[in-house]
Amino acid sequence: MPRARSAVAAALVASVLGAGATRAAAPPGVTVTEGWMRAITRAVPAGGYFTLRNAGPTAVTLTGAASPGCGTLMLHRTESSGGTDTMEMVDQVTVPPGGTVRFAPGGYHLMCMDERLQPGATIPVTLRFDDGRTIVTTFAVTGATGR
Amino acid sequence: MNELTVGGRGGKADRRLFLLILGAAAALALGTIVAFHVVFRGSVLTDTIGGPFRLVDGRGHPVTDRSWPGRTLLVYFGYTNCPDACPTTLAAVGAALDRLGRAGDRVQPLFITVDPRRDTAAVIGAYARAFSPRIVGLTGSEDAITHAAREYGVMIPDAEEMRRSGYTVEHGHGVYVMAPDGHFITEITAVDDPAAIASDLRQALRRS
Repeated sequence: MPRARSAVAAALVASVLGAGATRAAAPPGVTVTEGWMRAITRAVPAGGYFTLRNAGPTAVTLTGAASPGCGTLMLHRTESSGGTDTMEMVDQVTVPPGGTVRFAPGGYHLMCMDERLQPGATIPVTLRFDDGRTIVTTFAVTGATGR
Repeated sequence: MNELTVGGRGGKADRRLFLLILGAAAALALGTIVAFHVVFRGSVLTDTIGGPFRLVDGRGHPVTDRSWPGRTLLVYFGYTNCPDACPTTLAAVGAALDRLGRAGDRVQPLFITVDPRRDTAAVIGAYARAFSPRIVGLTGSEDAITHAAREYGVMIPDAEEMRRSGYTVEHGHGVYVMAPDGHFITEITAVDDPAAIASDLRQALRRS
């Protein structure tokens, strides 16, 4: 029966998408691209960056991240004002429908502590949203120079 | 009838005295600021940028501002537990120097930690080298670091604030270009743009 089959197919797709830390499905219409981590030395945190596009019908709120390459992975933001920089921890980032948020050098970034990253390799990263949904994506890992 | 009286009596003489006192108070305040490097929001007032420092390099060897004779120094302050701003600038500085080719050999980039408690010689040395073998990481005693930061007008958090805030640390982000004779040439502001840094350095090298 077509309905049962498509229900099974939907469940399979959802479980593949959620095959990271949790089994929750990805928010509809949300894509994550250009993910990369800058690994410097094992003794210090690595920085992570990506672009998140929300082509879905509702706002999505990113609340956290996880990766097997990081003991902890947190959302942060560099704030530059006058002659100084400071770094703030970020609890959540809301992306409106049709919106894009860039985690990029000088602004939002991921802080990866206790890093176990291999420059030249890739690492899975799970982004978590406030409704329990997740996206699992693959980040490239570079050395300190970012290349 | 006198106009512009101060205190309602006495007229011009009182006004002159009042202005004299005001002027003296202003001069005293200004003198105090210059003498004690009062920390303002985001900047430290210093009468000249640069000055002698005594720090320690990545191998634990003592160095001073005169340890690289004939070189144009690039001085940048930061710390290793900074995953975004510092790495972005250091990577850009490394890339800029590569663009300069042989002229880049006349430049000595220095990365001075504002967090000497966590950034020991070994840590800062390895960190700086990860971005480019040209970059020398420096650390030192808290007093020596604070002194060096003040010489460059760079705001750094005090040790207590560091301990309390853990990883949230505010610090000045300028890259200072110093001529071989020790005088200040310019501050690079486009610190994340290798092309802009290289261009500023070419200008600076022409003046050294």
